[in-house]
Amino acid sequence: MSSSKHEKTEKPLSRRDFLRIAASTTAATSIAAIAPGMAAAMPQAQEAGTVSVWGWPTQLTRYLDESGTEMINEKVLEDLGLTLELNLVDQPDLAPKLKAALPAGTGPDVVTTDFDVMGPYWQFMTALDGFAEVEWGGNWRTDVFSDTALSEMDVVAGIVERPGEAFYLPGNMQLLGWPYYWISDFEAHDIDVSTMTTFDAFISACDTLKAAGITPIIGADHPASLADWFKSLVEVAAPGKMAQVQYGEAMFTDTDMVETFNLISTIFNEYMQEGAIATETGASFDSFHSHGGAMCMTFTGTPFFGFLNNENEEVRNNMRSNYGTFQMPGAKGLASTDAGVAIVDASQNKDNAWLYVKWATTGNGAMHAAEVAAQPFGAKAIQPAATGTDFDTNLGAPLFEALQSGDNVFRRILCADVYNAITNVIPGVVTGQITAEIAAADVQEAFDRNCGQWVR
Amino acid sequence: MSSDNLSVSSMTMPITSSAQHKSFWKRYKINSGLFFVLPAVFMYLLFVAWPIISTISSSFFDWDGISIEREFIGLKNYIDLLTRDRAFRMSVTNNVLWAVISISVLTVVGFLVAYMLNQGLRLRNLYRTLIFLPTTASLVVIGFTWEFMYRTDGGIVNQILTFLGLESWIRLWLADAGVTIYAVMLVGIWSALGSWVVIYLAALQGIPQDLYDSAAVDGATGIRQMIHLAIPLTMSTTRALLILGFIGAINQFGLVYLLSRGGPYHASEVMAYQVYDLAFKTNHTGYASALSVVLLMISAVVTVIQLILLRGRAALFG
Repeated sequence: MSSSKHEKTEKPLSRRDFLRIAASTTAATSIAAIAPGMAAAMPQAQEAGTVSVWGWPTQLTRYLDESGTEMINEKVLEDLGLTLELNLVDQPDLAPKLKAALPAGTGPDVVTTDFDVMGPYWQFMTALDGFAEVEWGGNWRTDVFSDTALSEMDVVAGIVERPGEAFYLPGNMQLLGWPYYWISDFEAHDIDVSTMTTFDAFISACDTLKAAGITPIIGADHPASLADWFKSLVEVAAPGKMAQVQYGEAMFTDTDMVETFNLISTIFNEYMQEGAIATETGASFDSFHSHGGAMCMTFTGTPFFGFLNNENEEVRNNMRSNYGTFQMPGAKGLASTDAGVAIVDASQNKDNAWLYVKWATTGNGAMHAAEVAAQPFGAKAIQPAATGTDFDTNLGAPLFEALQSGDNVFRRILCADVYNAITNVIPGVVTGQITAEIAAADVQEAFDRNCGQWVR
Repeated sequence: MSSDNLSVSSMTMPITSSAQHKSFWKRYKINSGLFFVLPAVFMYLLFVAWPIISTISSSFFDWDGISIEREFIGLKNYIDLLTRDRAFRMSVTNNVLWAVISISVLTVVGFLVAYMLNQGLRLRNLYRTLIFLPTTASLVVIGFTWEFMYRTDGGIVNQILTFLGLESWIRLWLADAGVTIYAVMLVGIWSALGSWVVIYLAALQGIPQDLYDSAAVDGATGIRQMIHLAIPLTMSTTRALLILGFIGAINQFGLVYLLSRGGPYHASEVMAYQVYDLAFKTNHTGYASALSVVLLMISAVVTVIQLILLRGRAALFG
């Protein structure tokens, strides 16, 4: 300071003042740092009439009318008197989102689950048996839900190591192993799906389309889609072996299982659009809808039965009159839960959460999806409407029956590490970076290292 | 009390002569200045030191990052990482490629562009704006935009190549294992170039005009001025940029996540993305922690080596 006048007039900071400020700052910083934890630890006084839901885009997190208008918030408010706080992320991002929230005791009231990514997160869900018994009585399981749906609930109880308890209620069910196709392409080249009963016949149809300058199949890189392809083609290369390898009764490195990777590589490299292995899911559907290829097997389950009530009118019309479906020859179709609905154990809002779970799986929410989007459900009372397409004859009847009766060979990928390994190595095989043998060895190693609980 | 024990703040007020009135910090000779830094130290410990210690600790366990139980496995994560992990080798290779190529290009092109913009060009402010513009865009926007541009069906990059008659250059930019990492890297270079140019420009503008005039008198003009004057006098800037560039390259994550998610297979994977993938998507938190520690050590060692080498160069030029 250069001015003596200033030296005289400026009041120096006393030691006491200084320490007071320093102590206050330190205390404030400490409180700010621990405040979120304190808030999380305190009982949350949830606003009455609200339910928060996290999930991924599936028919279970939508309520589209026939013209594709989203109405879920309005319907939840109308039916339940609850304000819905819906937070959706893409399926591959669901696990990181849950990991960031659930172990810290935070997160939503309800999670719309995906079996493939839920593995370690089931433990943060609450058992629903108490709610269900009050609602439907002691025999609620078999009274309300189909055998196929129940078999998967039991698998989840096994993961949490609390057998007999229900950690979610099954929502919509999916049938894996079938493509959509443009009827005009198949008719123009005399391809009759009713006679396509072998994998060779399927490949022959692909060759015909390819020779005509048409991309036979539109594909994408989505992990769930890659897993679906694997599960479907295992039934071609090694029928019935998906369950055996996961119970330690066979190996992923067995020759016939290795062949599955080669089949996928052939499909991707010979019959899909260029770069399919790195094509984003939405782009692949756009390409199919704009007739960029004859078939689409990006997702083979029911989620994209949403084509029936798609936001785009042209897609809706195509689904009703221009698209056909058929079961992949060899693949028997896998009936499994597309999405279950679970309540987070840390939720302080479980009563509202239960209202929502019930609505989405057995109530108006489920009924609407069954009626408008032809979704099959785990709840027996909810029957999907006829689609008015060849799905009803080509796929629907036998597979819906299997869903209800449980007469369905179980081929679900049980262990999250195996799922991750399969979806990790397939692009390596497709792009020629690793061989099918190395891929199979990697998957087997993942199974050996982390999936011991499934070995019988 | 000796003058050695006087704190900074104590100089602003009279010192009590009476020993019995000595306050707590005087009695125990505590430098009250410590209280000034306490909030910062607290934040540092909480958000920097503790996570590092916790990560090092986790790296010795088989842990999914969720369960309460975790199994101590010693150095197994490190051994697996360094001896068996194919993805790790690929991500290290990609990080090295990223560091070498992007830093080289950014240093050379960044300097040359800045040098040109430092000349009396017409519309130079417009050029500066255009070059700096990508730096102002959000990384997410850049990622989505370039993903769209790289698309095989109708992406503008392949369309331009077709228009220019360069069909043989057309690639599956984000699906070809041999190309993807370079395609992602190009976006990184494009988005960072503006910053490097601006920093170089500031350094060049700090060189007094007198030096250029003296050099001209001595017969050094044009490119010789650049080589013998501008380059040596911006060497400290280059040194800082190299270190920052290397740290940026070794921690590269955003563009890989947005454009290729490390694929196809691990062809464009970098270490930071692998950490994310292992820790958050596949729940191998212990293993991811070991990888993080290795990443930290590589960053530290290479930065120190860079500092030593570049200090030598600076001394040479100095």
